[in-house]
Amino acid sequence: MASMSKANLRTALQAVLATIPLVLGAAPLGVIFGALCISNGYSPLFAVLMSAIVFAGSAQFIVIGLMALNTPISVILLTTFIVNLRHALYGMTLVPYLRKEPLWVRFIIGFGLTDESFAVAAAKFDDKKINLKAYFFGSMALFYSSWVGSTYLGSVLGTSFPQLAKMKLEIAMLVTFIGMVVPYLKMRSGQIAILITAISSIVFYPLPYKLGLVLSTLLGVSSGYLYLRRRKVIYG
Amino acid sequence: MDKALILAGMFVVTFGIRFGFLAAADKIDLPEWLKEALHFIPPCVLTAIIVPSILLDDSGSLFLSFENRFLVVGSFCVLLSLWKENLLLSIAGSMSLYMAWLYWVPLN
Repeated sequence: MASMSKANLRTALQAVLATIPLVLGAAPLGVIFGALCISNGYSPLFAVLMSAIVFAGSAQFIVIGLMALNTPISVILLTTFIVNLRHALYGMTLVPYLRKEPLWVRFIIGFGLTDESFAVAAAKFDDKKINLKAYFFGSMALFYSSWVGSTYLGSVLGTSFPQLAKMKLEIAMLVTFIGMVVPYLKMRSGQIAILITAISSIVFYPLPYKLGLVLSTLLGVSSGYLYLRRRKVIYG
Repeated sequence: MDKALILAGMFVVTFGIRFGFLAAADKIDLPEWLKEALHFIPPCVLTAIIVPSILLDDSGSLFLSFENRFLVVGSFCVLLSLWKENLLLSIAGSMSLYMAWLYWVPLN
């Protein structure tokens, strides 16, 4: 890309490397998703198009399940909306950081704004030396191509991969996320936000469509923020 | 059911949610309190993804046992991360534990 300087390319490469462990967690799921589409009677083209156009792991799995039950499209879209609601929080979080970027940049980052790329980039939000645009582009390029590629692989191989599912490689994603969360435990406000989120994520887990995830995130964010504020009122 | 319509609809909904705030990013100015609160989004959303995946079994009930590999490996990762703040080390260490466990005692 013409607008990418050498420094930006280096930043993008750094993001590609940081995204690799998350690909290790997501690619097996992509393979399984592709295979699931075939076993439910859809073509490899449909599987690949879904991953390439929608690009939202959990929503894709849920919708394939709903389609098998002949669910009306209105319910399918409402479910997609609720399952992906957390992404609105990501978009809002990025507003102060991307406000000066041109629309096409925000368009691309919006399209690729998955849990994984948001998480990888989060550590760089306040790093003035990093060009956040280049970082997002690098992470998203790898994550997008591996998601679409693994879907294609699964849809062509077409078996349901019981051995792959059994290995439960999503642990790679989970330990990566853990390594990203632990540094926030250094601050008291972070400890409170994380503790409240953890407890409420278990309490609200039975809620359908990942609503528990959104609710416990909002509770954790508010408690961390309220703690910060209260401290400011007391100490000035 | 029209598959093309479902794909198009899912794209509009998903992209709309992700891009909505970014589309207006140059026009809206979030209040300071909200910007401050949004700093907690990354750790909280990650915690909300991690904790149920690690503490609950497939049926959604608490699975507190040394048989729970995600819990053991996840706790090991917390310790590694507290010891050295090196993401790569935490990932590589925890995954080595998990893969060795998988190799010696396959999941059934």
